[in-house]
Amino acid sequence: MIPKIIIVHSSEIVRKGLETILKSSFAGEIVTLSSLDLAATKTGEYEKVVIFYESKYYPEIKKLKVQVAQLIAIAENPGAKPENEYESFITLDSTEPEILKWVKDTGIPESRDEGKEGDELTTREREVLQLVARGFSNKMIADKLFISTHTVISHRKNITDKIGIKSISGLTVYAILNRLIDTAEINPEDLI
Amino acid sequence: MVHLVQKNHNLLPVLNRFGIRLGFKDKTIGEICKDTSINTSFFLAIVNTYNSPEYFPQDELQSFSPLLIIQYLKKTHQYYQTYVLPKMEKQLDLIIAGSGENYKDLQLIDAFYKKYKEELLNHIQDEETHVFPYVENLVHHPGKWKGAFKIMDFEKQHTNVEMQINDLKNLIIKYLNPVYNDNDCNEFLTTVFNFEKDITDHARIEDAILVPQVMKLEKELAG
Repeated sequence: MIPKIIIVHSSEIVRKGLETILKSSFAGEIVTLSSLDLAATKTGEYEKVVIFYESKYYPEIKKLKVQVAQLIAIAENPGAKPENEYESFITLDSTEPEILKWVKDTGIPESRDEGKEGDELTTREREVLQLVARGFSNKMIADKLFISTHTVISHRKNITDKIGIKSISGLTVYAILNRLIDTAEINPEDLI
Repeated sequence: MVHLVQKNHNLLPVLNRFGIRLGFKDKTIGEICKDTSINTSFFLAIVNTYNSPEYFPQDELQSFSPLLIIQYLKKTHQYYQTYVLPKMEKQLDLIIAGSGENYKDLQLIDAFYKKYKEELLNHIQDEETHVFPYVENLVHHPGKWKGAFKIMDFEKQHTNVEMQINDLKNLIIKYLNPVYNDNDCNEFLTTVFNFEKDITDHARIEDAILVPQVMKLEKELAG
């Protein structure tokens, strides 16, 4: 059940611009179309669908029989007041918060920007990393920290995304280099 | 042939593996292959794999034997074992020797490298004792093939070995304390970068040429 955002507009500048704005805030699939293709707007396994459409497609969009969470017109004239025409709309001079508001209203979760390279590790991620470096399996880590294995895996993915190190022995070296594990009692070379 | 080397000098070790010596004069690839009795289609398939990541020799697959590829891959393994790995070790030792207070950290990197080397050698060993003999038997004694094993059962993923060489690079580039000799470290990293490129291409030759070729053979034998 992935949220999906569809952008239909003939201008590439509008499509790309809108996509960039939406991408920074929402997880999920974003599809851009240069003209209205009804086949591509079909919903299926998608839980929530938001369609931003060029206002000229208003009549066709109105007839769409799919379950759509939100239909937002992209009005042609900036500064015009088309609220009488469309229930939901943005204009070319809408600000980022105004655009994002429409999507947020549908309940599509915002992406939390987890695991970007260069970000600091959270306290929990450091705990997981310490255990990974000491040779604990996902299951053992889960038991030790009272979390599910699934959560451990997701922490590990975020750790790898953030520090750019994938292999277990590489993570161990990272942990020792950054003094995350105390090597006073153990021989670090045994761990690697 | 001159253009080929001028365009991509990383191909020099590849030419060595074919036994091609410098001093090309104005000879074409075809002429040099003929002089040194090299199957030209095979040579081109290998060189193109190195030059473009998307290259896949669909049409030329049947024009040379998988035995040629195995011979080539073995030479590459030899090159890693007798030249690249010792070179990396020598360079790493130099960095450690000049590292002063950073000594402990670099020893960790060294331990990581040794672990990597061990896995790489295991991988090479596995190919030479299992995968290659399997293919050789398939070609020499197709009648004995029972279909109990297939190339896909043998061919292990290269991802772990690739992952670790990338980690080695990142550990040094991102997390090393800045106490080291610049030139020693640059040289080591240059070797690692080149090696990573070579080994990625090496893996692609297996995945894009050897495996499809053998699968085709298996399919023919299975009728």
